[in-house]
Amino acid sequence: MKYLNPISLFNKNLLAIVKLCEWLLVGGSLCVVSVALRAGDHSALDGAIQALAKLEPGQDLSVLNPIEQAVVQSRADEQARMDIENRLVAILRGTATDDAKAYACRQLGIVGSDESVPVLAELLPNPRLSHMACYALEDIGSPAALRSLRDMLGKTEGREKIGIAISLGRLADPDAVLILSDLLHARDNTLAEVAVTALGRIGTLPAAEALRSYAGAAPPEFDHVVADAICNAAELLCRRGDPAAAVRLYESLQSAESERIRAAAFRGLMVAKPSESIRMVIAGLASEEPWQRAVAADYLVDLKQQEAIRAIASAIPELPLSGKIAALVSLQDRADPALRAAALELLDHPDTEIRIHALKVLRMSGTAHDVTELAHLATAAEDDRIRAAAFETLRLMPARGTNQALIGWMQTEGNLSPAIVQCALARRSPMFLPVFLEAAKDSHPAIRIEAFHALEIMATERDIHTLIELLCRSSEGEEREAAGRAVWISCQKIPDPTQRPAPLLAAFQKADAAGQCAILPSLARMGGEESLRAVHSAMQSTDRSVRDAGYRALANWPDASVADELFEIARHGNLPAYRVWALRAYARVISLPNDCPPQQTFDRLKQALDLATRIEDKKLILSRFGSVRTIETLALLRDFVDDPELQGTVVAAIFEAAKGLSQTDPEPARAALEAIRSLTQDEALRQQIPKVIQDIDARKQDR
Amino acid sequence: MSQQTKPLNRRQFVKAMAGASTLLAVPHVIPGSALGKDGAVPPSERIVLGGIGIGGRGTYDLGCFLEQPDVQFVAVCDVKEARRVAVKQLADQKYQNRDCAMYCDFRELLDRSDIDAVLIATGPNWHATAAIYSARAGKDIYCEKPCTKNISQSLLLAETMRRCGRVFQAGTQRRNLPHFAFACELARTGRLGPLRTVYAHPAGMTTAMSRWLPPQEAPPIEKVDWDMYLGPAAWRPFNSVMLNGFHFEKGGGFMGTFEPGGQFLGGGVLEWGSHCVDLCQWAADKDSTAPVEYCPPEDGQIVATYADGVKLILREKDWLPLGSCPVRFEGDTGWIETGDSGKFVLSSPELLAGRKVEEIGGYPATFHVRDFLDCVKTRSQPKCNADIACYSHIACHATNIALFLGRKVQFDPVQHEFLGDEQANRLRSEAIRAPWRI
Repeated sequence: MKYLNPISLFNKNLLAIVKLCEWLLVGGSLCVVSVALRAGDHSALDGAIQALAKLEPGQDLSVLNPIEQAVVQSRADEQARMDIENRLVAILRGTATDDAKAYACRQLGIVGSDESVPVLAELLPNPRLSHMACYALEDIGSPAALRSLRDMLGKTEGREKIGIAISLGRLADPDAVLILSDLLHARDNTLAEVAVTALGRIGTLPAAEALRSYAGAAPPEFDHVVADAICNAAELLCRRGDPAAAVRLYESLQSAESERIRAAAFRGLMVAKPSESIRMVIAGLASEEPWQRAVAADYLVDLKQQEAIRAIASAIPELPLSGKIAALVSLQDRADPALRAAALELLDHPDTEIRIHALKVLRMSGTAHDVTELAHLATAAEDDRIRAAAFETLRLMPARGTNQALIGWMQTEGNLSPAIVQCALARRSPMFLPVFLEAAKDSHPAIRIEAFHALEIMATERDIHTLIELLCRSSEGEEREAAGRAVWISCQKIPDPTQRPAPLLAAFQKADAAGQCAILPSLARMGGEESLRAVHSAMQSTDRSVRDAGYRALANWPDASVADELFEIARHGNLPAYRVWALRAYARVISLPNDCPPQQTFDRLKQALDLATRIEDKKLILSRFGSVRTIETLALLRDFVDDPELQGTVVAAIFEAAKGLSQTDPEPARAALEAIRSLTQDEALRQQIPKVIQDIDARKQDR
Repeated sequence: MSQQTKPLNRRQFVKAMAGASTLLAVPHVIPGSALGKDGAVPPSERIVLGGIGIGGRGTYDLGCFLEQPDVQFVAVCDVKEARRVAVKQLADQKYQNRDCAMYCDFRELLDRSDIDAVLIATGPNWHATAAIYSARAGKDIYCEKPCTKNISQSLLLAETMRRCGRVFQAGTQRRNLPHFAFACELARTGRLGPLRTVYAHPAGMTTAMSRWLPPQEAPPIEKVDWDMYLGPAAWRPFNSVMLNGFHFEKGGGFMGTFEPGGQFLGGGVLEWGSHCVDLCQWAADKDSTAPVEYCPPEDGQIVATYADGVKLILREKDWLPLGSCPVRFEGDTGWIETGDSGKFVLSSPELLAGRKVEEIGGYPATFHVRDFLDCVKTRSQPKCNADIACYSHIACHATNIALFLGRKVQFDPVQHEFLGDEQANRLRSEAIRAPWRI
């Protein structure tokens, strides 16, 4: 016959009544369901509690799920909470296993109240369950829980006593000061140390006094523990509005032998005596003791008052070199006119470090008026570190009017340079776009190239036609490459992909031979049928330069759609140069990431390899095998590994393929890597090979 | 639009101060307490390293350390004799000597004044406690993830590192991989437009209570120190599955369990979350805060919301095939998704803007280890320092609490408390077993 707990029966009925009232009030049928479910929950809970009473280690814990559900759901239902608490307390009072009782303690940690305290206190002397009792009592944390811990401190020994003392400290029980003070002189060092720490965490005046008295008598090995506890107590006293007591405590540490203790005291004093903190910060920054400077600088970071910042800024000129740097570093994120003035003054300082830190301060405190000076330093300073610092400041300065000031400076004759174009680009403001377009026409090639790099990032689809004009005027080589890239990227910004080649195709139709040669590489990179038609027409041109550009454009095609045509040219092209371009392009496009089976790519690359006669072409094709991650690839590459002319390329390809296979086929990959380990002359590869091997081995372990 | 200068956070400040390191040679994070090695000055040449809890993952990490020329590994601590011996052999073979010392109690290793830094790769149960002990002993710390068991530990870990002026690197190595860094950079610099949603893969969306397994006869203490293995966790009888279980108290706090056969029940989102959520926090520029609202799972995803409305969505499905630990960042004008393959997919090729991003698959920790070692030398803070780890872990713990409670919870990331939910607040911390204390 099923046992019915009268309390639970009452609770069950009470819950039903409550739910019925809810239903009557809101008139919702869902509440009826809720009542029914709750009744079902209770029967499941009864079963779970019975299972807990008989729980043996290793049993499936899922039978206890209703207990956890009841615990969690009791949050807004005091009756339900009391019910589950009572049931768990009954487990602790009964003959359940220690495992079951430990489980009950965990749940009481969530739902326990003063009702649980007596039974938990009874567990405190139990070596197996003392900790779990502390676990629950700490979470309950009520005056009754504290009282029970204090009572049991005198009735326990060893680890259990230590555990209780720790809990009293964690709960910062002010009434435990006396009993913990008694433990300071315990013969058990651990107990004494725990008492010291606990008193520090309590942090009341009596606790602090106990620590201060003990400090003189404590064994030297306790110096740091005691000082730490005193600092804890002082911090708490300060927080509770008794800075004078905190000051006394910190002052008691000032003469400590340990530099760290003195540092802690110095820091504490600045916090506890805010009226003197500015004076102390300045004194600290001026100190010859590195630890004092570091403490002062650290404190300065958290100092908020504007008048304090100004006072320190005005003291910077008088500080020694190290103090200046410490102050500048600490204040570099503040925007303040006094700081700006100090930083500007330091830009002429003979020490480079000082100048660098002054420039960093200007990032936040600088104004548009400083742009001229900064731009000058960013482009013309002799020391590259100064140039870099000025560049960074110009890049990051948020002051109003900075962009306009920089544009004005760039438009002044003689000021334009690649560096300042880079700097303007780094600000990523569309305001600079007209300046970049103008710079792309500059007489200096380096400025034009830098301008195209900037336009590549900043230009929009509205600028495409201007960019194409600039492309047609560009010099061959690096400039044309940069211009072409800017055009191509801008075309990519056209939302409709089918329309992207249109501006280039239109320009191509109208362009002269030189213009067509300039446009073709970019056009080819767009891909697509219309572009291909234009490329084919160029390949048929009677103008040799356009024809060459057409073949090159085909070799620059972005995907494998032209692979067959390339292979045909590689085999039967009119000119050796066309055959070489096509062969190399063929190897490239067929080994681009694709949906083909790796075996197909492998076969096509092998065909290409058979056609290659020049060593550089063989190298290229072999290198592309690296992206074909098959076991056959490793076998093929191994056949070339002994060729001294090809070895470097082949080893790199084996590495790439093996690395790609390292997750799917770790053993062959590992073997291939081991085989090339001693062959490579490449230092980077030499370092990476063992790492991949290591990763393969590690993957067998924990992730 | 120009890029605005943002106020320095503590990490940036520390890094900036390191720039002036010739003048400020003491630790730049000021000890508010008096712990650690007096007058510790970072070694200019060689970093002497000790290892605590060096199992499978720890051995991998150690390999990354050993390949660094400026590291000298001198001591191993493990509760298992077999691990102590194996690691000693590894180190002795590397250095061609017999110098690597072995310890069972990590406090003895920490007592060695010649050791500058420690690698902590114990089970997650020990991570925070061992890290805090190490910091108080004046050591710098590389600590495997997840670093903490609950919200309270996360805060205490960060506070301790700050007080003790220690360099701390959480083992969330993806922050030091170029494709993840690039993805976060796109999000942080506004290239995706105003950021709206960041997605993380949690690798598990369940939580469970810690438990016991059937008692077995314990090995002699010199073979396995079971009590030390349990450490700050609740006592329970010896069980070899638990001893060798990868997931013992993983996820920590009130969650984390182990089932015979290796089934992982506990930990919830903390397993991958400590990586993926961490990356999302970085991308959303939320390294010093956490979401303010967490909803339990719905349609296979958990939605958390930051104070500015940015959503953090944890989901297990609908990822592009880019490898494990994927993240995705979506703004008004673009998105990026990446994962452990080292590859990434962009909403538009323009987002690449001519950049070449190195493709490094397989989530190696080498770069992360190097970042840590460099910071030990310069006394700056590494990419995944304790302040950053603190909030990415808090985000995971708060998610787990919502998961466990099965209801929406609201969290105040300044006061570090849940609003109007005492149960959730009680789950923020837990007592640790004496004599351990943090």
